[in-house]
Amino acid sequence: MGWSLNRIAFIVWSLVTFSGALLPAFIIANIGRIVDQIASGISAGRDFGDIRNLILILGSLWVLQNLYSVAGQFSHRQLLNHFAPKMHKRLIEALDGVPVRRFDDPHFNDLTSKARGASESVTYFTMYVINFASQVFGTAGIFFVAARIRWYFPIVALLIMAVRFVVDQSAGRQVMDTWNEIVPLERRKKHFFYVNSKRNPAKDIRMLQLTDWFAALRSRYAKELRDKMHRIHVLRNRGQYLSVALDVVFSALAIVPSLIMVYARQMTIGELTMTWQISERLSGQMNSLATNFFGVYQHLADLKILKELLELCMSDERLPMIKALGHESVSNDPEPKSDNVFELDNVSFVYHGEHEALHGITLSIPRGQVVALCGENGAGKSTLVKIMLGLYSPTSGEIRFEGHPYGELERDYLLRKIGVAFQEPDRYNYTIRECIGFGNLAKLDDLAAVKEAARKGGAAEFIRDVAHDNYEANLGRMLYRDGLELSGGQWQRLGVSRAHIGDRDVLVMDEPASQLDPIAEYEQFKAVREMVHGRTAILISHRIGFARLADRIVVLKNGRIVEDGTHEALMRRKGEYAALFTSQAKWYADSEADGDTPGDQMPEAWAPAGDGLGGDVPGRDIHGSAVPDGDASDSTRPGGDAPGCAVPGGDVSDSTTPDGDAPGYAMLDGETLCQEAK
Amino acid sequence: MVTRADMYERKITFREVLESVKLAFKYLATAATPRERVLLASLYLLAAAAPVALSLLNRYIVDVASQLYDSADRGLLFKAIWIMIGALLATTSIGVLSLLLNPLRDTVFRTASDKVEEDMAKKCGTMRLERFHDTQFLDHVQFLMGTILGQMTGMTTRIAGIAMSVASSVGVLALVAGTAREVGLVMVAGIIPCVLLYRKQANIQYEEAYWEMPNYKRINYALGMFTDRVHVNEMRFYGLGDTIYQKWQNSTDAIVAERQALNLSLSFYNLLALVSMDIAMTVSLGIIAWRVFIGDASVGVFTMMATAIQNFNETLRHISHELVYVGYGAKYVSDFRHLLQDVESEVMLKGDEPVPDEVEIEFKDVHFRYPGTDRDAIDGVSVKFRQGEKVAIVGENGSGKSTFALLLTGLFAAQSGTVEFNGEELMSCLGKARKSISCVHQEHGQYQLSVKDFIRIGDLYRDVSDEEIAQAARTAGADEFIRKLPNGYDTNLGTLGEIGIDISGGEWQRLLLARALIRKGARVMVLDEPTAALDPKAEARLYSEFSQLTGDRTTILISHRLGITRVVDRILVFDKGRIVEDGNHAQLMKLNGLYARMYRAQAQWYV
Repeated sequence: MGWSLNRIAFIVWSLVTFSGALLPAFIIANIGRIVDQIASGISAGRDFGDIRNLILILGSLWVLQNLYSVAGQFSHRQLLNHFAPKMHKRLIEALDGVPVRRFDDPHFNDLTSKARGASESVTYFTMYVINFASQVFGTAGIFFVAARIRWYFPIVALLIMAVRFVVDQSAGRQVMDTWNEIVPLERRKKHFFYVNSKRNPAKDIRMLQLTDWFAALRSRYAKELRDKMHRIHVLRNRGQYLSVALDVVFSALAIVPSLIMVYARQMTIGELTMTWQISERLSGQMNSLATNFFGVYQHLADLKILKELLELCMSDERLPMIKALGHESVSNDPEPKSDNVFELDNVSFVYHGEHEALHGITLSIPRGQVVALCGENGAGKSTLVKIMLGLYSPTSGEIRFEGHPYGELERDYLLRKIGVAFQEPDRYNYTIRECIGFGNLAKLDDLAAVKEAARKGGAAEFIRDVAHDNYEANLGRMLYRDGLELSGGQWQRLGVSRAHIGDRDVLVMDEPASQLDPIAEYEQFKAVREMVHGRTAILISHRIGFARLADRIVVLKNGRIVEDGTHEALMRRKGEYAALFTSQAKWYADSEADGDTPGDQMPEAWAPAGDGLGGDVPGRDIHGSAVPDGDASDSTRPGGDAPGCAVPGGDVSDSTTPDGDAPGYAMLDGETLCQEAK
Repeated sequence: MVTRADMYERKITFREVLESVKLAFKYLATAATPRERVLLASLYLLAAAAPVALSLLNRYIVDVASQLYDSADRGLLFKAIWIMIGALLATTSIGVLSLLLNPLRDTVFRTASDKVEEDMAKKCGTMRLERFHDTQFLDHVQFLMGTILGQMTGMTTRIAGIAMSVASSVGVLALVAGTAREVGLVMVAGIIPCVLLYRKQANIQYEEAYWEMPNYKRINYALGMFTDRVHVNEMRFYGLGDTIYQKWQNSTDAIVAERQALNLSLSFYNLLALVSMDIAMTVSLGIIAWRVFIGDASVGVFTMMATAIQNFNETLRHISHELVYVGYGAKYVSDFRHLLQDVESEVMLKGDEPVPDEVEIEFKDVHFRYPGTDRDAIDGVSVKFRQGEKVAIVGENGSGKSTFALLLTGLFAAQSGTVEFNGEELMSCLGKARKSISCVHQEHGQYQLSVKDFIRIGDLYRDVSDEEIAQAARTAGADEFIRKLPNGYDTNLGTLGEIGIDISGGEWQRLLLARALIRKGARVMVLDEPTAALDPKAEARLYSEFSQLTGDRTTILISHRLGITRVVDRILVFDKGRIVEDGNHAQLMKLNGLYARMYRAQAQWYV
């Protein structure tokens, strides 16, 4: 893989490493020559000048060696510098085109979670490979010098190396097996280690006193791990004993005959010095080779992960449901071919793992209709929405947007037409403007549009309070020291704002208020009601009351549409919707209105109380107030405000009653929610 | 405590490095028996002596060889061969010894590392919860968690290696100087510029690392947007691929550019340092060669010196290189030391006492403020709870509801005012109090435990039978989905994602409820938004079974869903950190205050 990335740095580095590997051989040879000269020089009456030159040459060789090593390190770092980002880039490009469905595959997710670490590993893999190769080269150089002294030196060395290699390999394989047992153990131990510093488990751990219990678990795993590692070492050692013995044999074979030959004047002292140095060098070289080889092996596993991931990414279904903006881009949006915004014909969808999430869905949503999708958890609402947004393609059936089959549409056509507030919206650690603007990239730089969207999404107020209306403020302290920390509700409102930016004709709101308190929730629902007026919209919420904002309610159960009608019609039917509605509504029914089905009548509690102050209600000592100084008869707010009068957020009395609202709406609009006490 | 950024900014003092080294070795020492310590120390000593021994052997061989060459003395030949073989055998035995001790060495290092792990985990697991709300502190702790083991082990290994290298260098230098004093001086002179230049390099590297950090985090974040499942819906629909790629590119470009400049300057200084040593070595060898030439020293001396100074050079480079990392690693160890010493842990007093039958909890003018904020989150709250009361806590987001619950359970400590548990200060009977309380929080850990164990840990004070666990699960409405899991109650929760099973938010909540129920002895229950992820039917089921679930326990229930307030005796309304209304539903509706407004806002859909 390395050769496809930054060829120049790679080639330079390889050349440098290879040529540098030869230097030690030259140095050894040079020293040998010096030794001979000074040994004989005394008696032969030589001029020191020659020796001096040899020493200077030696010095230059050392400097050259250093130059090589520094240049080697330099290009090695350069390579890393350029290589790693290229790997990331490859990964990004591959992943960006992967359809959403892939991410439901646990095996795929397992691979992606390892991908980032693995990509660093690939760089090291390449390093080890090159190091290994260059060392082989260097060893060859040493062999060459050795052969010039005695022809059989390299052969003996090779034999010994071969034996060592074979022994190392078999030990290595056994090591690998044990290693495979170790990895999951290590992971589990690490889990119970890291869990102590994570934020989510922190309360559990303290309330249930889990620290010691986890410690005991870890201790067990740790003991097991130590035992296994011990075994690995023992296994490895078996091969090593042999290596040590062979090393010694080799050294003996090198030195003893050399001594004899010097004695017999068949070898000079210089040559003996070289022999000695070579045998030293070769031992060292063989050890490094083994280490490098092991390094290559280790990172091979990571390489496999990346390879598999990239293959999965490039495989079938590469194109998302909607084709990407390509060469055949249509400059004008296609004319709507139908009055129906969404049309689904007998759509079915099967999740990875053959669990059928949707079955035979046939649904048409005409322009301007507001539809609420209801159903229990797991009924298929989210899946249906994802299909309608083009994130999934149905496993069977057809789907059309404004009469055009999805396959014919451009990727961001839907984005231009539909504003979406996703359930559990993403928390982008970028600027506020970007966090909202991401909902419609075309308007990312349009600050006015962003502000407008913030207003509609209910985020403008806290942006003013927390960020002083600075839309370039950074969110989240993780990436920026001065980043703003937001609450769940605030993030949610930013997510909802993403739906509103750009004033699109179609809106999809999935749980836009799940993290908000009652009053903020009410404000949000009110805002939504205002926004969907005149638009086509799909609304989803567990707060069944939300459904009353809609013209039409579609109920899903076990992946099928079981009911479809208006609120009144479905309530009369007393089916699934009625059950869902009642199960929530009954908790709001006034106890005095027992016997009447909720939904029919206005509960008594709504009638504005006469004087607003706690009357003579039996049972409790404190009459509905909690003023710390115990003054029961006065206002509820310690600040002395008129009881319950401050209206949060917008001005309730201003809102106009929408046309054709169901009974019960009028209650709130045009009427203050509080009463001034007197 | 310092933050991650501070860690790179501050320069570490020599004293701190010393303390860090001491700590690292303390862990190592406690991991080995005295006999093992001696064995390992001798191993290192032998390794340190090796270069000197080797140089001497070298000299001997060459000298003997030159004698043999000149004199052809047979007896000398045999003597030389025997000595040679003897030396080789000695090397072998050292090699074998080293191999034998390798497993021991590894085990000792591992044990030391495990001990560091213990201390780190324990500190994190017992430090007060407030720390988890200090983002920068938490970020630093998490960073330390991921790095301290490697750094601690690295430090001990490095120091041992450096000590060994220093010992051998000193030995070699002594040998060299002993043979030719001026050579010793030349070598020392060559070291000085080397050391200075290495120090310069080290400083550059520290600064670079600090600078890189934020960009590195941003790169990781951007990459995560592509790899992690949670982002995929929005990434695809909003088409954010190119935009996020651009962000990745910007941060990467910045890092690459800086690294390039750094690479150049580092290499330059490195080369200078190396060349200065080369010059010293060349001069030294020149001197020796002259000596040999004029007959002042034997040839063996030359080869010995050649080996020795080359060895010296390499060890020196090794030491300088490692010292850089030692200084670097010492910062981590120093922070770890401060974490252990300075950050206080919870003290679980009176954990052995039995749980009282009746529990009364009282708040007396309690104040609490989150670290780094300028407003009290709990601003003077006084309230009393008697055994058996069912209380709902409502209010806007940020009004203090969850904070209140945390003060009640002692997870937060009141900064002024007191929280009393049966008349005793909560903090002085924390063990007893925690035993009496059973909680369901909004955030929870997803541990790699079986479903059974996950529920079982709800009551670590006694043995819980499998039957009880199943019963609790049934009561909580979790039994059904548990049975559908591949291994039922033995299914490992942590690995579910790997085999393609997702547990929904609602199912988790039911598991948490089962766990809360398992604590039979608890007299108080605290439920924080227990129905947030449940659909209407599941929610309704919980409400109607509320009294069965809670029994005669005091129950504190925090909820945005105001329907629940129908089944409780008492409602506390929080606003800006204070309780502003207190009564039952009817009373508060009559009061027509904040509660009434919230209630009507929700109820009006259900007309």
